[in-house]
Amino acid sequence: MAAVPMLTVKDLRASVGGKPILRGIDLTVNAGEVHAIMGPNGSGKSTLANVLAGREGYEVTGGEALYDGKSLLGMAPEARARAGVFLSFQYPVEIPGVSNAYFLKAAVNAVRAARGEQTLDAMEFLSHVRAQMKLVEMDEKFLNRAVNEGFSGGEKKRNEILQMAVLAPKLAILDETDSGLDIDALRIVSRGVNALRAPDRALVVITHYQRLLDYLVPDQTHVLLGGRIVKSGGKELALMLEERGYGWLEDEAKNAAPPGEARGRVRERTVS
Amino acid sequence: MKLARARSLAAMRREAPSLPGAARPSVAGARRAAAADFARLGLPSVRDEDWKYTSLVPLCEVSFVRAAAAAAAATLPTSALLPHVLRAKHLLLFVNGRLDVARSHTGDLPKGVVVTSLAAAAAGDTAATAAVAEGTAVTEDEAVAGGTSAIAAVTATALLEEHLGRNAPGDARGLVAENAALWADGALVHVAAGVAFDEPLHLVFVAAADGAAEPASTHVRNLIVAEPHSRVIVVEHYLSAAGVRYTNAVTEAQVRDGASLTHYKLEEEGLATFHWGSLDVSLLGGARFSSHVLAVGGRLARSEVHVGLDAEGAEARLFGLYLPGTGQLIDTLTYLGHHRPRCTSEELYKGVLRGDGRAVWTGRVFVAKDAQETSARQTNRNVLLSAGAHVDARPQLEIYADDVKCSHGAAIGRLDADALFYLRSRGIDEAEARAMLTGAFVSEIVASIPTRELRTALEQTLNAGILSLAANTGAL
Repeated sequence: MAAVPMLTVKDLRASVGGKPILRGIDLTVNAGEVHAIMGPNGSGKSTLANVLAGREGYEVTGGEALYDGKSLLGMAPEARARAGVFLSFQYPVEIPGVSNAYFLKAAVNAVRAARGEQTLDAMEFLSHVRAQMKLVEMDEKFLNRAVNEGFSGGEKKRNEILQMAVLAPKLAILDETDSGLDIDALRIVSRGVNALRAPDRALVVITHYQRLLDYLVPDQTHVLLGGRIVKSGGKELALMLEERGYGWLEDEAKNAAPPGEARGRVRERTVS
Repeated sequence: MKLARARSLAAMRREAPSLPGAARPSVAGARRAAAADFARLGLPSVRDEDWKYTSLVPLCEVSFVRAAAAAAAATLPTSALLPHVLRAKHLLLFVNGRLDVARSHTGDLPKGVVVTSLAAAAAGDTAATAAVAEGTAVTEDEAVAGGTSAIAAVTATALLEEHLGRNAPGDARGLVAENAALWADGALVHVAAGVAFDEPLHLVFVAAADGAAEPASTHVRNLIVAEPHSRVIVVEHYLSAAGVRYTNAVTEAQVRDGASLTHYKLEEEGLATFHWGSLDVSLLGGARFSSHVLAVGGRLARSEVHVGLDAEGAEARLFGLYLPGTGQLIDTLTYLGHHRPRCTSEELYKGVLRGDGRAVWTGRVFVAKDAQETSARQTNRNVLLSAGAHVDARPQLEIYADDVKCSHGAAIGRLDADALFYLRSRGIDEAEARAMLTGAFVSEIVASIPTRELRTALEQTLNAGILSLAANTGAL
């Protein structure tokens, strides 16, 4: 008997400021899997990530999202995090006046308390976080600095992966983690994420470019276009997109639609 | 308002014979002149530009009597901001506007530092003045015999006669005139040239928690003179508990050439108290002045800081934090007068408002025509934690010189929504996330406190209190 999927998204629809962005997303992610979601700008990638994380300003107008079989959409952001959902932000915000150490310790203890685990005191926290900092090649000095303040793009992304490592989520959604990264930063970030792959963990990697997927080889790749997943496949789909762009998919969608139907309505097909 | 003015004038007439210095013509004369000024000026109304957003009508509606002397070991209200202040090394405690000799101690002052009660100095009471200045209870014989004490006592009276009222003339502001007529006590602090007094001197003004039925008022006056190249740190602390009270406090300070005054005002009045205080400072050449005002109490609490940069090279740094909650109005007026060239001023005031709390902030910077090469930076930032909170912020720059660097900025907003979501997305619940961001906002002011023991004490207190603050409950 198959275990309950970690994430089940069914016909999810969402608007921002009254404008429909997600127009019926279907997605199933099981523990241990890495799914890549690619798509052009404006396709709804970040909207999907933010809706799953519970950010305000997004109105869910239909469908559902289940995490371990339970509805995610009614849960407050902190409740989702405590249940093991993690979003790595595309643009991590700077928080002057709050140190990384203070923030991370509060977060990890909130999550541990929710799991019925012993919380960490200052010493325990420090040794716990030291190991993870090595993973993303971050100097301990970062702990005393304010969250993301004055960090370069690469440092901000490494800080996201550090948090992921420390919080040990079950479902991690990485929103364009590779945007703004140079080769070295990309290598470090990818290595960090790969080290966090586990049989009881699922990763949803949202990306614009294919190159991240050379490092984070996905089990399935989906293409998001006009608020829907229009194509799913294996890792070679990503390479196809790299070669041909997104245009061919848009044409495919146009040609497949019966006359009179609005552009953007496509039936899902998988390419094995 | 007219009725209140009449009541105050009557009080001035009635109290004059029993106020300190009644027997000295100069002091008594000054009080009479102040009463005349008050009769002419009255109390400010909202038609006064400086009081546009703050009405004193609620204050005027109450008939106050002068706070009676408290019982010897009267219970004192507790302080949230500095719970250990009564154990400070250098402390003058004033209860209901009168020096509490038994609980004050000036222990071990450096040579050249005079700290005494203004009332004793005004009365020319050498024994009493000396007793306070030396921090001991001394008999008259001992006072006459002890050279240093006697000298200190004489100096104090002379200082008072020379300096009182110089920096805070009562002829322009009614509330200053009222203070000049009715002040009952306060501190006189004099630091001789070249003397460094680097330990904080605490001046604590408390309304005893004796459950007095009648609304009571206290008028206090402090005088600080830092001679050239001296250094002094003064912490003024205003505390009251329940009960309708009115505190009127004026501190005048002269910081002479190359001298330094580090000043703090902690305002923790009770929630039914009306508090008005003004700090008036004159800075001479190369003088350094820093001021921190932390205002958390009062039904209506207004703190004014007026600084005259009166000779070249003077530097003034003003910081403040106000935290009004429901039922409170905390008002700030600062004035930085660049009267001479090449002076520097820096100002940062922050407010956190919760519940239906109200705040007013007016920051005036004046740069005279020949105050060239002035540098003046002014910032006011406000965070509203609730929809019912309200702040009026008025930066006012009046610049007549043309070779200056002046900047100003005032902002009113809420806690950063992106930052809040970021913290919550990591499992931190909303209340704690709001507290973390509020604490971060406030931390800039606390971090700017130069006196380490105060900074540490306030960091701990504010951190502990911030959680309830951000969750919109009343007390700090």
